[in-house]
Parts: sequence; structure tokens; C-alpha cells
Amino acid sequence: MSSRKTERLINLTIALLASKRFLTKNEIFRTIEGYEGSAEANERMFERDKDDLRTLGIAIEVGELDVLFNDEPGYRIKPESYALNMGELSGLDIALLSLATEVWRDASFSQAAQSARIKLASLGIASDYQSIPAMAPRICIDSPNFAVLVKAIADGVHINFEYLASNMEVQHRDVDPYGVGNRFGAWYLVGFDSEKSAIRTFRLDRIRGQVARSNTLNSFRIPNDFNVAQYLDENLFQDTQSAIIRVRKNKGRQLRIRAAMIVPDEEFDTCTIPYPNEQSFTDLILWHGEDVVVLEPASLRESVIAALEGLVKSHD
Amino acid sequence: MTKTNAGLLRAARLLDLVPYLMSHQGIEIDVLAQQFEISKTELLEDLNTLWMCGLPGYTPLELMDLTFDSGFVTIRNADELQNARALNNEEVVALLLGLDYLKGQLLTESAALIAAIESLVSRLSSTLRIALTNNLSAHIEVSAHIRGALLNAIAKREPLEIQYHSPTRDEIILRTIHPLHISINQNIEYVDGFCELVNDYRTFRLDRILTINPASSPGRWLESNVAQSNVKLPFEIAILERERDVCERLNIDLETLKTSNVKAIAVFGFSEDWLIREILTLGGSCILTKPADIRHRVKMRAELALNGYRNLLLGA
Repeated sequence: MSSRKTERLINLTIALLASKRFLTKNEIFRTIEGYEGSAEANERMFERDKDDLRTLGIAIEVGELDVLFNDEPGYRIKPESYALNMGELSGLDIALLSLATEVWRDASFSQAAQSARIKLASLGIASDYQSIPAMAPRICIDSPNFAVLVKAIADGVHINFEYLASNMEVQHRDVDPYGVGNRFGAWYLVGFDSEKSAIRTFRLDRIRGQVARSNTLNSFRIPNDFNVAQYLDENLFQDTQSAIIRVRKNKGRQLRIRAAMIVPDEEFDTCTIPYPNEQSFTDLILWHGEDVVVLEPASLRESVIAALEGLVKSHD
Repeated sequence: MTKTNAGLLRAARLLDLVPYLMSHQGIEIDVLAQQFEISKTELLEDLNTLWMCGLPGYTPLELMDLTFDSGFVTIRNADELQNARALNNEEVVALLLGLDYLKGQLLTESAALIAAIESLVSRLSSTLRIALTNNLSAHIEVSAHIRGALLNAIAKREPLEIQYHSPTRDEIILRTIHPLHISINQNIEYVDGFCELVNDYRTFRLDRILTINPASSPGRWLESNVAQSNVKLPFEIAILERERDVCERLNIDLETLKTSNVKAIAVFGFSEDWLIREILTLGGSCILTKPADIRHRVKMRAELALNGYRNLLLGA
């Protein structure tokens, strides 16, 4: 984009903001610097300029002029839609908002955070950092797709991507994205999987390559009661079962800190331990080898024994 | 970034420069460039462009009046653009996620801060098409820096020096640990690893790690556990099922998997003990094919663990 064009965009914004009434195209071409050449060229320039301003988030209002002037459309920018307005903001509010932009240093939204920080600083409200404990917040997001996903959720567009399935096969998934959230260092996408006809959770680091979005905006509705934080809590790590396990004295710290109850004994202590899912808990039991013996439930005990027998056989 | 995009970003920056200057009259050029994260040359170009913009007519009466020769910038006659622009969707999202993150960090601090954050969140979300507050969650209770350092050390198999707070003894102890995995239980994150201080495996809560640094020496654990002086332990596995679990635990990437024969994947580990426990944990999903002596020890460990269940039956 040339400097002249940048200049023209700024001049157009100023003129449309300053005008109390709608300006016709002719008035715009006649008075705003930068519109020159044939009528056709001006028309094309103006169409592109309008698109550019809209891309910048500036809403151009289109209205009918006086009925006497036929129905030639006019244009203007309403100062109230152009300007930042969050109601009254205190020094503490400004400090919190600035701190919220700090979180994004070098991460997905750093550019948006930087421009938001500038806009907030332009309000000329002195920030009150005294009321906030000293902290250096920072969000860690490795996924290049994070910003794309957030935008897809906001736009309500269908997405598709390649996903590393549990068998390490790269699968194609079609999803209506509902939310993204962070749990324990990993970011998750929650959405409606078209093929499975059900809500599914995807770990962002298992998405291969780029997420593609469809063109239709608002193509689905997110259920009103959907809350991503609650969904992740309930579906990923909720303890639903409880096991009784013998753990060798002075061993199995990972298990002991989870225990709801520990009954000490001679060589082994008996621990009651809640757990969220059988597979990951079986893995944890196996990690401890001969230092742990599962008593209950029988299904967990059987799967541990089966795995051990398998290991003996396969490593013979 | 495409050329057009860069031009649009510049137009956006020019629009944002004006209100910023209005509220920061007399700001030093160097400081201004720093605030906008651009070079001094870029800034001077921006100011020169702005200087040519104004209301139709474009006489000195209508143009913006900028002075910056002295190295300090002042602006006059720019009332139309004096207001900070409204936040765009991306900026709102960056702020919403940032605030959600802060909320998680400040949860235990003060009710007034949380209330201020919640009020900002509701004001910001009202500007979006959908209430994204339910769809985005960035609650991270643990310092991202600490988790990042741990994940990095786990991937590279490097030891760390941590200052760990024990609330029961109310002591801070410096420990050298060899982190193995991050695990989650009841919404608390733990790192499992080998601790040199106690010469055994221990589990540490991430939120109680106060500082984290690379350990100065390779440490005792590696010396006693790694075959000869070679820090990296080569081994070979055959994958039978649960491919993704196997690959994630043993740090095998998709490319290695694709270019290898699944019956003989060459990998590097970092200690015998680690390797045996990992193979046990994977419970027969993969077979350790080489080296033969460690393969034999896997079998012995599994048999030992099975004995625990046999004794249980005998006892009963």
C-alpha cells in the first residue's frame, strides 16, 4: 500500500467522522484529497477503501440522503461507534487491562494486545498499579492455530483439521468449535465433531498443520449453557472411581499424595485412592512395578495383572 | 505478512498515533517509537504522513499541526481523531483471555480485584457477537515459566535445580531433580522425577516450586544409571497398539514413526531405570527389543510385580 493511499484512508476517515450528515460519493470524490482520475477509477478506489476501513474495524454507516436527492446513498462514520467506550474506567481498571495485555508477550495475540494497550493508554487515565500485587504474568501457547480457533469460535464458522489419533494415524476431523481452554499446561479445543455426532475434546498440540475454516459465518449455534472451563473440568480430570491399593512403605509418593485415606501396616500401607480414568491409572500403577498391589476394584486389578502377564510373555 | 496487510496495519497505527499523542503531548520521539514497537525511521515516516492529513480543504487551517523537529512530539488541530478507536474483536479476545488468566492468578488475593476483573470482562464481552467468556478459559494456576522449564527439561532429559517449599515443615529446600513427567491429580499439577537429595523418586507440586534453574552438573542419578559414559541410551522398540501414548511417553515424533519400521524403532533414552519403568507403564503396548539385558530386566520386574498378586491370593 502506498503512502498516498494510506494518506487517503486517513483523510477519508477524518472527513466521514467530521461530517454531521451522510456524504455522497460525489462529495467525497470532489473534496477528499487522493481521489483523482476517471470516475470509474474513483469508484474502484472508494470500494476498496471502504473494505479496508471495515477490515480495520471501522463501521461505515450507509444511509439515504434527502428524498429530494433521489435515493443516492451517503456515507459517514458515527463518532460513538468509532471511539473506544467501556464506560467509566478507574485507574485500577486500566492497570488490570494493561496487565492483561502483558500476558501475551511473544504469544499468539501479542499484536492485538499491543494495539489494545496503545488504545487504552490513549484514554489518558493514570493506572493504579499499587492495588495489584507484583506479578509477571505470561501465557504460554505453542500452537500456531490458537488465534485461528478463537476467531472461528467468535465467527461461528465450521473448521477442519488433521488430528493425530490414538493410533498415531493422521485423521481428518470436521468440527463446530465451541471453546478453547487451558488445563495443566495443555490447550484444548472443545467442539461438535460432525462425523461422531458428539462433543469431542482435542489437544491443540495434536493438531497437525493448519486449521482450515469454512466461509459461512454463524453456521451453527453454541448451546447456551456451554462453558468450556466447566466442560474440561468435568470431562478430563474428574475423579469418578476409587481404588484400594497396597503401597510399599516409603514408596509410591505419586500414589500417596492422591490418597483419600492411608492405613499403615508392616511392609505395605493400604491406600484408598480416587482416580479419573482406568487407562491412565493402570499406567501409573504399572510404573510402580512391584511396589504396588491393587486390591480393588477387580476390573483394575485384572487389567494390571493382564498387562504384567503380557509384558512377561512379550519380553521373554 | 502481505504488502496490503502491512499497509493497513500502518493506516491503523496512524489512526492510533493521534489519540495517543493527544494524551501524551511533548513525548520524546524515541519513547514514542518504543511504545509503538517500531523504529525511529518508521515513526518519522508516520509523523510526516500524518502531517499531510486533515479535513477537506487541506489548507494549514484544516491540516493537523504536528511538530517534532525538537525531538519531542506535539499535535494540534486533530480533534476529529482525538478519541481512541474502539477495540476490535481480536483485541477484545486478547484482553478477555488475559483477564481470565489474571483472575486465576489473583484468586486468593482480594475480592475487590476479582470483582473489578469480572466487571471488565462483562463490559468487554458485551461488545462481541457471542459472549465468549463461556468459550475461552485461561486459568493457569502455575507459573507458565516453571511449567515451561520443566517441559523443556523433560524433553531434553536434563536435570534441574529447584527451590521447593514444604508447607508441612515450612522449609525451603534446594533440590536437584531429574523430571520425568507432569501429572495431574484433583486439579493440582505434579512433576514426577528422581530427586538427588533423597536418592529416590519423588513427586513435587508445581505450585510449590519457587525457583527453577538448570542444574550445574549432570548429577549422580545419570552417572549411576546410564550405561557407561554415554549420556544417551540407545534402545529399540516394537509398537503393538496405543501408538500415540507410546510415542508421547517415549518422545518419538510422527516423522520418526513414519520413516521407521514399527517393529524396530530406534530411540534414545536417558537411563535404564527410566526405560524399564516406561516400558512397564505402557503395559505391553510396545515391546523393548534391544538391548537384550534391559529387555530381560523388564521381564524380571513384571514377574516380581505379578508375585505380589500371587502372594495376595495365597494369603487370602
